[in-house]
Amino acid sequence: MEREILRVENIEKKFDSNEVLKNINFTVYENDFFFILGPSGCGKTTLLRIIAGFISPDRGRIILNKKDITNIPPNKRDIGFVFQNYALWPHMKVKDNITYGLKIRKYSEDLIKKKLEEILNITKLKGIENLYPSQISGGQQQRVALARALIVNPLILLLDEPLSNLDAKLRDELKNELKRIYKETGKTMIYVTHDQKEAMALAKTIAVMKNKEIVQIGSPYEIYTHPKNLFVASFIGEINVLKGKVVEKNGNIFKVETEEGVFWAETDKGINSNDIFLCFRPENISKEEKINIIKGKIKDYEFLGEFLKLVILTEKGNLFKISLKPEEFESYKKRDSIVFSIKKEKIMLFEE
Amino acid sequence: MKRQYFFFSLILFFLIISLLYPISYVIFHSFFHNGKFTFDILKIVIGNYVLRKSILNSFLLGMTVVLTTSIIGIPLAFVFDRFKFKGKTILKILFLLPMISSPFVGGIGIKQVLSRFGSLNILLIKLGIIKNPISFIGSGFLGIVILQTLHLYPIMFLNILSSLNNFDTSTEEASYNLGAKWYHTFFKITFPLILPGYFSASSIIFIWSITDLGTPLIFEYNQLISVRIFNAIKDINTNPTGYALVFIILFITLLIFILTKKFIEKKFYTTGKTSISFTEKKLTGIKLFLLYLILLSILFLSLIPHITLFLYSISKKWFFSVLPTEYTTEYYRIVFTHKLTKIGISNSLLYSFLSTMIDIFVGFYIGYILVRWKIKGKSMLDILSMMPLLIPGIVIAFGYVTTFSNTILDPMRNPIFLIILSYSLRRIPYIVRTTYSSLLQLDQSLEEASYSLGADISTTFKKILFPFVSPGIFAGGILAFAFSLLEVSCSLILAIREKFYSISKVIYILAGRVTDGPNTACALGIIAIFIVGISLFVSIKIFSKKIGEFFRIG
Repeated sequence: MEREILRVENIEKKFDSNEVLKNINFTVYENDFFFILGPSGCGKTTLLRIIAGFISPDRGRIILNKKDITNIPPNKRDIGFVFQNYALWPHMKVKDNITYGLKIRKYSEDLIKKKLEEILNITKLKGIENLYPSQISGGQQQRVALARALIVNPLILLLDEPLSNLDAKLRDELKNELKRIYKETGKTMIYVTHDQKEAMALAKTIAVMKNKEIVQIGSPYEIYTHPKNLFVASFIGEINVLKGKVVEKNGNIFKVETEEGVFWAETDKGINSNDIFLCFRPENISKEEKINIIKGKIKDYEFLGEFLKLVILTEKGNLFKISLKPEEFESYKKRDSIVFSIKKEKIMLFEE
Repeated sequence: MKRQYFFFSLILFFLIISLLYPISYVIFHSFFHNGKFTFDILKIVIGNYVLRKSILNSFLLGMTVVLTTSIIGIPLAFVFDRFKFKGKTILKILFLLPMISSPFVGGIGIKQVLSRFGSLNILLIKLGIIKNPISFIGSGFLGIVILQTLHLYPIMFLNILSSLNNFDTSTEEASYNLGAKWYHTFFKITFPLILPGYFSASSIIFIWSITDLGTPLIFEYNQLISVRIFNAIKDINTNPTGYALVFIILFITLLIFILTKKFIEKKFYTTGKTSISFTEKKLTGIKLFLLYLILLSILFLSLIPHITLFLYSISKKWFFSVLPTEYTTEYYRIVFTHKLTKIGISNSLLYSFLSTMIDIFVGFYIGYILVRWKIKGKSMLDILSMMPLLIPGIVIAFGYVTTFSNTILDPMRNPIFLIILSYSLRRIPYIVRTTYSSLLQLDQSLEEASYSLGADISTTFKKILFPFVSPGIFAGGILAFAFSLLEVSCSLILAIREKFYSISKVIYILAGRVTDGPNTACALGIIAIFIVGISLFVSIKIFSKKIGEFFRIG
């Protein structure tokens, strides 16, 4: 069992009468790259700021390294924080920004110099340490912010949407940089974002938040393949949705009636109500089976090299997104229509 | 277009006659004597012990007031920026109140409190704290410091508050996050980042303080450069040191201005985007109570000059007692019947009204030209139109007296034109600024649309431009009017004959009369403050947050 670093217990928070966080519980283990993922306004940044100590919760506890830190001020928490807007101090040079924390801790000149050298290497910032923040690029500013937080070697590092202020190309570049730095330093990190692609690319664990609450925690694979509800399923990755009614249930096998006909699904999830959503991922299609067949015309397509993404319009007027390998395309074609099916174990059912 | 150039020349003419010519005249005469270039006049000033002492005293005064206003203004701004409490908006306006009256009016009230047998001494003696009265005012220096501080701290407060509003609080959080304590964070992060705002406020306060003429006159404290200039006017024909003194003040002012500009322009001081503000803390219980207690005490202290002024104006007997022993409304009746006060009020209303009209006309055109015209020398016009904010009234008044004596405009004969000119010049930046910022938001295409539909320039101005900028102009105009009503240095210097006295001059003259003069002066002061207060309130209502723009450099 990995060592527990951070535990968040029953955290609740209201701003005035406006509830922002409700019963938040989770544990972060050493060396985790823990993502808090959710749409804007779900309370994720507030949660992160509570962990850092900038806001105090109305209820609940924060346990860091087996110590209750709920009432400890932020400057005594030993938690690193990388701000969304970097919060670099514009009146200090890059190196003074980075070594600020060490000076606060009264490190010796020599040690500061050594540590600075070290962190400049890790974050690839050598050569710009004598410039001011306004004289360097957005990507560099981001790395300075990272270096400043990492150099004091905090128990855990919090990152608040660190890539959201960068343009797409830089974002990809820095995503890889972050992954490398995470691997090199082995630091436990909590990362808040609304970008599911970032989460999927970097996370070891993802906590999906919706509307003040955590909906599901798990590895990216778990969350993608076994989303707890329709929100998680559609927030992470693309999904096709059909409304349906369970008409027969036999152990794990469900018979569902929909506008597009009868579907068979296999799931070990307990489904109690009859009104359900029947869902499948675009890539989880197979060539014509005996069951779960959908037929329609191509309404739109997008060629992505490895994949061909198609939007299929059925006679009933439903739209389905499917993706398949270009070389398979011909085998799905039947005259001017596309016909595909979904394996019953690839179908997800969610209660309404 | 021809009409445009006509207006343009008119504006240039205005700026030349009201600003450039008198200033150049003064500078010229500080270096040329009998037609020859010389440093002798400056040398005489520096070499003269009394004058040198006055210059140093002025510096000391300015520095002290910057310090005292910082001590009040900075914590106050932090409280208003960081905490959430009921009545914040009203309190904020109340804290701006001390700014509305000239400190020299409050001086009459403060003297009553602090003098040898004034309220404070009597109170302390009655409480048994002291036996013999203390001379609080002393030479008068302390009294000036107190009054200027109470008058000027809102400028510090406003500037720091607006710096804090634009301040990215995550830079502070980053510091805490790295383990810094609050004082470390304040001195290493917060203060350096609001330094431009602090610097700009300090410059305004410093310049204001050393060029204030009314307050030292009320306290009869002569050892200041401003009073020396005032006295030098009388014998300027025989003694040219006045020119050099004015030159020194001008030089200091411009130097400070340039330094401030340079300092503010340093690029790296602009912080990035401001993150969502989580920083307003809600206070409860004992902390909230303490906060109110402190805020209200400061407020009470800063309003003491006004409160005592009011008490003085309704006191029949106030002698050897903490508060007046008998009250009367007699002095308010006198204000409206006495010949001198009637002259003062009607003159001031006339001067202020006419000068405000000039401000609106000229200021609007300058603002318009600055935004819309593409001509060379525009930046020169920009600087010229903002210069009156820096150039102290005392310099302008001195310039007018010396430049125009023995001409048709000689203030000895009839100063109305010069008084109105000086009033309007000094307040013109208000209108230029409001017009400028309103017009910047108005897309040129809105005007072009009007032209394309067949409207001519004057129709477009009337129907499109003016309605858009008029709230700003109105607010700025009210402000200009209000400040003109209580204008001190130009009025004291230029209104030489009784017939032309303004309110300030009447108050000054009355305060110097032994018998019932001070009471009437107080009553007049209260009425003037009342008018100014209402105007300012209306102006703030219209222009709300941007009111701070009037008290900033750069």
